[in-house]
Amino acid sequence: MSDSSPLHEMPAGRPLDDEERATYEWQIWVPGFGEEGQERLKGASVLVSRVGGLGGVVAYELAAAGIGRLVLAHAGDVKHSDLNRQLLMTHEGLGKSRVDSAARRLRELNPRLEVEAVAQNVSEDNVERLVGEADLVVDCAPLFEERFLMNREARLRGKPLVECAMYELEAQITTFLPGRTDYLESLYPEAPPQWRREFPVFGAVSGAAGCLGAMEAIKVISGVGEPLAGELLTFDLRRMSFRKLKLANRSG
Amino acid sequence: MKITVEYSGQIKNAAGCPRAALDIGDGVSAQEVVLRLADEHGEPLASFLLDDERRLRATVLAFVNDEQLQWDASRSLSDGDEIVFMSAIAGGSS
Repeated sequence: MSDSSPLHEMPAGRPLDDEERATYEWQIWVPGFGEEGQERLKGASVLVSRVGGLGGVVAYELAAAGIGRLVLAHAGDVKHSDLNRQLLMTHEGLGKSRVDSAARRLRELNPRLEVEAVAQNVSEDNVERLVGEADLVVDCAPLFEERFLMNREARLRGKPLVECAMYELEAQITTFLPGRTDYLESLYPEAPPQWRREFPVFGAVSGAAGCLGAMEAIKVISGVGEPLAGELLTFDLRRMSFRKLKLANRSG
Repeated sequence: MKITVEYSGQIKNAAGCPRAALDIGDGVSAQEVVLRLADEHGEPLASFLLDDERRLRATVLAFVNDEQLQWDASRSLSDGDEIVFMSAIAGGSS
């Protein structure tokens, strides 16, 4: 039995079958998670944008953990320069759709997973629909314009938003919860003029940040542990330095 | 009074170093340290830190001893305090 309840109301869990109990046995043993936590993951739908070095690992860990449904948004085809970090892409997939490659790899891992693969980046044209289909959003976009769109929609619809970002050997992760925390516009009200779509990073850095982001989503959905609500986790793998920083509540 | 300043994100490149030890006078606030850093380093750090009104730029977060600095609430410092500056990042692979 789970002894935790999610901080944010999530959809009802869905009962497990025997194969699922066997598959997730080792995490069902986690105190505070249990079969009830697993049922909550099965009943949940998560939007991940995009599914490259960061979002791909978020999606992979959520698929492995038994999330019920993933909505993946990522345009474009696989390039050589993706392959140092985008672990859902393969050499054989070069020149083919990134999001299709991602969906295929995820289904190989978890054939029970329902995947909606959208070969578009989040934009004004699709953000309402994409966020509307999810119970929780994990933001892994490379541009602040996309991040602000998902943030706006998640805040308006009262949906939790896990914010993951990486740069070089560093990452920043926090979780916005409706009614409990500010959202992205309070953290960063505008896009920094210095930010560019292409930036230095190792796959091991994006992968580490992706695992942490996936764990935040698992915590919010299942109720296990304490999400980073009102706190910003940062790490610098150059020095293996981790910090948890307390954010000011600007909206009171 | 000695404090430590640390930089994270792209602002680290503008500062030219990830961290520095500063010897500041007694009774200096965190806000005054931000202004001094901008004036003493000059560009490009000054533009990262300050907007046109010489306030901390909205795309940079500052923390004193792991608590976020609010620009309008003067924050006094003590010997051994640590200020972390963090510029907004958005990776995310494209």
